[in-house]
Amino acid sequence: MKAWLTNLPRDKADIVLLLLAAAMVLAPHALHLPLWLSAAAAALLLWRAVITVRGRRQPQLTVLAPLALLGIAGVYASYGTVLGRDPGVAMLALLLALKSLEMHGRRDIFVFVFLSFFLLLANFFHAQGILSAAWMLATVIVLLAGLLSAQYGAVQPRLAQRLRLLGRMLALALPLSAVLFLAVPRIDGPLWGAAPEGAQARTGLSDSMQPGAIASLALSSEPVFTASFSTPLPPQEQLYWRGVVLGDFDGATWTRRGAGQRAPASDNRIDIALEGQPSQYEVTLQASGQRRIFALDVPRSIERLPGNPYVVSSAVEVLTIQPITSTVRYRVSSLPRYRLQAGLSPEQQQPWLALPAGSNPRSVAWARALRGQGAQALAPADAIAAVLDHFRRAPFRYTLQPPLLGKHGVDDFLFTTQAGFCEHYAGSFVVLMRAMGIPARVVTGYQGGLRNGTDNSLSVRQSDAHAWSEVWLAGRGWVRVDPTGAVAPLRTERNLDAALPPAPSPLTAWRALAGLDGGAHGALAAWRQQWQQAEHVWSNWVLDTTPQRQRAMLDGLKNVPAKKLAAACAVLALLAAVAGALVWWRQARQGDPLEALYAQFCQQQARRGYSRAPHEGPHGYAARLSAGKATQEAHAAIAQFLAIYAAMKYGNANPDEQFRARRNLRRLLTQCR
Amino acid sequence: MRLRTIRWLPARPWLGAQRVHIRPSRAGLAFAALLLALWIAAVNYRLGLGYALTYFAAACAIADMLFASRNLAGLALAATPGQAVFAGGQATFTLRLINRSARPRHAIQLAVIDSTAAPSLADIDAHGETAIHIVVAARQRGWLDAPPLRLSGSFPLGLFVAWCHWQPEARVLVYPQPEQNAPPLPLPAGTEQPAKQTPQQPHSSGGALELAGVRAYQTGDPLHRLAWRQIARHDGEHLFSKQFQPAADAQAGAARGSIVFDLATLHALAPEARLSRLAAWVLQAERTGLPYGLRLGALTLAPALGPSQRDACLRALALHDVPHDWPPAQATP
Repeated sequence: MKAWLTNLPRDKADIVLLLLAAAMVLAPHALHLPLWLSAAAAALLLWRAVITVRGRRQPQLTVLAPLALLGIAGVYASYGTVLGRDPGVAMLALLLALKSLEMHGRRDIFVFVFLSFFLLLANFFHAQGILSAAWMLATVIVLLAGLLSAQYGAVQPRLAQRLRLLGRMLALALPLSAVLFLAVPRIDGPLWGAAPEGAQARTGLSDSMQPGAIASLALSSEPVFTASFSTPLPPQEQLYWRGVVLGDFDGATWTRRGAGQRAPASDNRIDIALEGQPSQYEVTLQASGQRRIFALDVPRSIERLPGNPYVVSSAVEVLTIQPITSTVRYRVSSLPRYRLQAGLSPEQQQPWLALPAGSNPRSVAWARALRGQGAQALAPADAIAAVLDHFRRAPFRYTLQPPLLGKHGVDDFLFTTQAGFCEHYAGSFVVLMRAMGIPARVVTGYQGGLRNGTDNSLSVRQSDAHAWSEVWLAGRGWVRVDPTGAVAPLRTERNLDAALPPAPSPLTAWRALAGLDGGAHGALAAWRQQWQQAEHVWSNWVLDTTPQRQRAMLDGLKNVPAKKLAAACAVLALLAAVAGALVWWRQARQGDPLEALYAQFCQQQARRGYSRAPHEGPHGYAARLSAGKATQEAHAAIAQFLAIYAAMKYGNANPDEQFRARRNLRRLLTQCR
Repeated sequence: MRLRTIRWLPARPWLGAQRVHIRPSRAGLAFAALLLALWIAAVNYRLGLGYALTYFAAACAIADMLFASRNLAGLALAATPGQAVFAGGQATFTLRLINRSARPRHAIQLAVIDSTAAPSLADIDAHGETAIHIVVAARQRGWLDAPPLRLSGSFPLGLFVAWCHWQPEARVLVYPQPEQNAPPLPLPAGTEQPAKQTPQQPHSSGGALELAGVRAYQTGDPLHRLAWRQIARHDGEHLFSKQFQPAADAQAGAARGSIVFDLATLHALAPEARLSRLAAWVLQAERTGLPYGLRLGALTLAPALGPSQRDACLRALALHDVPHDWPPAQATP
């Protein structure tokens, strides 16, 4: 293969290199492009490769133009439009593949490379992780190698040499780009239009809960936020990251109370009493495109986000005014024990008791029977215990792939399938509570998080999404009850995957192998933790260089004491001087060393007043110098120097002799003065 | 030739970095537009890595700028004057690009300024040297200076063009165009057309040579003929070599019949046509082996035969009444 590649004529080898670069550019896009388009692009690139290797003619425009039209039609069919971000990327990918079949001159190569650069950037709409960056770097190197190879004249050195030259260029470009990256002021985008689609297309908790919503999140290991604690980490079963409170139920879907209306104003004071040792932590929240920020149940204070104020709803949901489109960081203080709205009036309780008329009749009847009537009626706390006890005793099972439910979902779940995950348990639990006349609601958010071994922090991923419930007890306020814990205690004590029975589906097996589902133990988990920390640092330092942060960094520089700044400048200057001296020394060494010595000699003699005339050869010069004024030894040295020089310059000495002669000359040079 | 009057057009055979100019190529301008597009996309979609890619691409362009100028800077240039030619022919200059550094230089274009001819492409190895031949039409007799040249290159990435101008210090002597179908040699009365002689004959018969004068050194002149006194008089700035011709006593052939062409006898012709005819006659006499001399106003070349006589005559014809600005190249009478 290698021999075959090196035997390719050079223009063909250049094309093959460019095709490889194009394949590398398009490969990550294949995850997001329609399948037919990826296949078509691959086929077109392959076609060009075959044409190149076999030395055939490129197809005529009469062949390519219909192909291009067909491609545009295909994009239109897939996206319903050819405008916008994703169809645009699809069109560019198609264009790149087609352009590969229409490369004739150097100009086309530039067009091809520039298109590739743009598609490379388009990759970052979907992923900006460390791996994406590494892949980008590799692709750019291949791309530039292709461009570089096309610039050679008649002579083209071997690939290794071309790469070495490219390496020297990159050695200059990489530090330079780092400086540019850190120092060039950022502009807070977008330059025009509304918030970009890119951030909104993320997965995340929604304002409603239908069966399956959280299960699909649980399959995503995308990071949501990282919490770095300055106080000890709370135990796992207390890590309930509050998100959305769902109070309205239509028989099938849970929605936020008054979801259609404006966000509740923050001015109705929330009756809340907090006690216990506060947990202090800093949350680094990834861009979600949503307006929600997360804190541990129940936050005492949340630091304000710059330029994006938040409001707290009466159900203690924290909502920002603007969608979060870039990584944000905020400090929170939470308390483990609280008393929330202990004194709700009956009117205030009413919304949390509503059930749609006629739905899930069996469940409602069962709940009423369980609680009992009149004096024998169970106290709310006992009723809760009874329901949880039922969950624990009846053959309920925890699974992320529950059977489908019918019209009366809760009935089906409680009495027929008895298999489901947090959504099912929390939802049916709240229905049962309301049927018993106890105010209750569903809370969705995240539970737990993966501890990072070395520092005091947690990573929370989409797979930690969870739903639980809250019931209102007179005098105690809203109390968290997690019915899932009754069925799968490990889910709340450890992690989601600990709660799942080992399911031998190929998907889960593969995910386990790939370490995607984040098992809490073993080497894979350790590696995964390291990786997550690296990703955390990466998103902190690379992706999240917002204008504010950049300013803060420069301000930080201002605050450095003058002495330290001076010392740093001195060190930098010294380094620069050393680097400059190295470059100068290397350049001085370049060229013929023999000539350099001779030039040195002539300079020396010129200082004594015997400059060499341009036409004078070493022999003539020697004759003139021998007549000049100098000591006996100097004369001898001069004569010897010129004799050796002439012998080396005009004779044919082998490299060894030349080396020895140069050493001699250097020695003689000191004696000639 | 207007360019030669511009002071920055250098003749010195060394390309200092300050003499290499640089500008973006057309592809480079397109690349700038691409950078802008990348930057806008990064701003609009708040792509941290988008910024990284944009700045990385920009840094690569900056590196390309540096490498493109280094591709030319430090190159040593030398020009070798070519052989004398007849007017109407093609003069060839050999230009040597010498690389004294350890890095090879690639894809350097060498083009004659104001010429539509395709530029020559040169690659020079580390510590290597490349010779390029430039062919210029020789239209007029006299000295033909090497044309001003433009060296340029967009290696390594093609986003920038580094260029510089170079006036090579070399010239070619252009002899007058020999008249075609010139009339036969004006043999003086009494001289018989000599039988064909071998060209060596004058040398072998005579052997002794006498000093005919001093002229500017030309490559190929034997070193032992360098005119040291004249060189010293010019502080060594120019080289001269002595010019010899067969000694008078060796011109026994003259008795057998020798001929002196005199410009004055051709007054019926236009000035240039006279020189053309004389050039044709010189070649003809040389071919037939008849010793010949030349009288051009005040300048007289004694009759002789052989390539050096031929060259001396043609040179005198080429430079007749030509105002020269560069080493006095007259054959002293």
